[in-house]
Amino acid sequence: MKGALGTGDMPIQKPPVSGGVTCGMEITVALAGNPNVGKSTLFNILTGMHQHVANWPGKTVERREGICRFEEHTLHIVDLPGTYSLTASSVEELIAREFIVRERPNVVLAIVDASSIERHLYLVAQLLELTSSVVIALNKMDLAEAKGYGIDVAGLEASLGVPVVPIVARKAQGIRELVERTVAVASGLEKLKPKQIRYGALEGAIKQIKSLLGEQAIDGYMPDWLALKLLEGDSEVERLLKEVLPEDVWRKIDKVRSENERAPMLIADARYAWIREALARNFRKPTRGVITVTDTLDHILAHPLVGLLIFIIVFACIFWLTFKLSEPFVGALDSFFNKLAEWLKEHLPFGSFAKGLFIDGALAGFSAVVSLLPVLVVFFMLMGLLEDSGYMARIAAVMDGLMHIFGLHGKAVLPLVLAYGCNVVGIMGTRILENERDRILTILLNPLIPCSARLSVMAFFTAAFFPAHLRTPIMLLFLMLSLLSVFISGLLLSLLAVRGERTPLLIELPVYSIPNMRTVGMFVWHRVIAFLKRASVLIVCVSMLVWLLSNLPIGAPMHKTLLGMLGRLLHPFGELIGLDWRATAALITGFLAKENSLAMLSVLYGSAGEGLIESLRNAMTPLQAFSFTLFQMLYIPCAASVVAIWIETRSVKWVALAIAYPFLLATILTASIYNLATLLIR
Amino acid sequence: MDEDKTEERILPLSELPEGSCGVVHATYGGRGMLARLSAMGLTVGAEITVAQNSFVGPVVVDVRGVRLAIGRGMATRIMVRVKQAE
Repeated sequence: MKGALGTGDMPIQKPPVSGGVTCGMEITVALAGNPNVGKSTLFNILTGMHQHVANWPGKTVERREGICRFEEHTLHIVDLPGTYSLTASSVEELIAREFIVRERPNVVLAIVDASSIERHLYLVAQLLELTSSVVIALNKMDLAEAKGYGIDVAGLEASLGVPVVPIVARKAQGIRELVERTVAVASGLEKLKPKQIRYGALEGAIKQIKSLLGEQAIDGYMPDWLALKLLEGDSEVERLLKEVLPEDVWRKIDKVRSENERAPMLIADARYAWIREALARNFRKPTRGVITVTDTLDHILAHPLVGLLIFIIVFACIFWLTFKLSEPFVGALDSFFNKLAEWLKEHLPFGSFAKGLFIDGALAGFSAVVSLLPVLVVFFMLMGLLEDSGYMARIAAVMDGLMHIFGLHGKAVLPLVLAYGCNVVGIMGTRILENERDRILTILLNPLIPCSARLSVMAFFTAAFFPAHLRTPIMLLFLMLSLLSVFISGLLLSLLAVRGERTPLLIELPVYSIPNMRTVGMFVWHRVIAFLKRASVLIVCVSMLVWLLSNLPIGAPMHKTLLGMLGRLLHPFGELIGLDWRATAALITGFLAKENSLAMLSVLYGSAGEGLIESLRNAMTPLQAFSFTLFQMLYIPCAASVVAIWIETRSVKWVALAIAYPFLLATILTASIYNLATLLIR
Repeated sequence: MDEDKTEERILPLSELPEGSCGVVHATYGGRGMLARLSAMGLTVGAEITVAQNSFVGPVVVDVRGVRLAIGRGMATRIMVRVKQAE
């Protein structure tokens, strides 16, 4: 069952054949398959480090592309989002089918899980409705054997009429043959005659609609496929055709559709009948199933109560590891940058203004980005391990009931709770959610959760203004208000801003397996590099800007600087929530990093530590301090979070909402509490 | 497999005890939901085995060689013709 070569047979880069009889082709290959089928693993083997990760234009869905050189050919591999079908119900499925139709890849490489071949061929059936240029990679052959399945690959290939290549992606087996067959199909050496799907009773309706549509392909789609999709009730195809078809034609089509109301079920049945025929003589199941490790583990890990307890423990470990394991590295980086800053202050041949701008502005911003890296590396490593081992899907199942309250997917619990450590981690962590709607909603809710920096400011103010026995209740009150905000905002945002319904739980629980280090490594690498590349420039700029604001005009006392003036300009607003211009200015610098607001208050009051507490007590009433703390807990995401939101959504609209919404919420909440309390006290 | 001699019963998936198996008899839901069920292998006629059902939380089933977790609400709308477990 093994491929042509043993383990580790990466398609090797060979020099072009001398004499130049054959010349290399440029081949575009789209990778299609269900989630968890091992698509990423195969993609990584094919492309090695020659890959590029971006987003699909205008979407939060990741687009991965890479190059694989084989003999004299260059294969451009595009990894389509993992999907179970090609309906219009999710962004991912639309992206996959639009890519196949618009960009016309030479070959669609469909990855099929041999250990659950029947279900996985359902996507292949839909791919074949769209294009005939399909090569099947039959992955996880080892797992199928362990389950006792017998698969006659040659027979299956003859029956399906497209190449079927057995592989084990985790062990890099069968890859060379897979690439060879792909190239053969792309070059036309291998002619394909895919087995036709017979739609039985619907054939007449398909023909009727086809004749109404005419012979021309519309927007790249063939009339056959459009007819099929109309009968299936595909909303995107409906929208497309309503734009181009005359109204009377559309009415006739609608009539055919209403005569065939059961069409969607019949089409699904036809596809499964096609699968059954293809598998009939080529697939054997053992009569008695064996009890697998997955069965045993699921009795514990997927159990609604036991599983929940275990998840809480696992989760506590993730949280602790993410921030503890990275701590020494963060500390080392911090002291390195501090030393570097000191050294530069002494040795740089600039004037004090340029030095300040460079060291306290640019370098400080850069070091803030870099010191986030250890946290992100550890976090993504843990996420990668959870995802690749198969446990992540169990989390979604176990947490589904609770997260439902927030209108969210079960998995959203991870990014949301991790946000208490750092919002950036939480926002980047939304990548684990498959559905774009869930992702955006979770991203928007993230900034409402106080991160460790904000928690430390909150703790400082609570300790400074309230007697010991009131501190814990007040901190709890803050946290309750934040949870309440998340809850209300979840409802509000899912009703008003983030369209799409929260779909009921229906997920695959993949077989547990030992994580593939290469897959996890690539996952970590791309996330971290993406963050470093995009965040560093932006945050350095913001940092320099804030430094300039608080140091211009040169030599002016604090209240005469731009920041001081801005603070006083915004004073009427500050008054609304009971803040003086100093506190307002401190909140402005808090945008760069939330802990900065404390540092800025020390500068503004010219005192630190105990001295600062003293000056603050003189300047603010406890109510004003409460007001300041509550406002800073919610008001806007920090610069790094804003950059992370931009990286994840690539949408000005969502970034703007992610800034404006918490600001509005913080203002309304703080202003009402402050003014109400003032009235009551009087 | 021979015809079952025992009496056949049709029950919603949510009420099937752990370890029981049967055949999907009918599915109820909107167009989008039915398309999702089909894509996950849950069509009329599919054989189904209940791997876990604790009467809270999702129902875990094996269908067409794949393990699925199905929300309890949705599981009430999948009718299964039960084969009597021995």
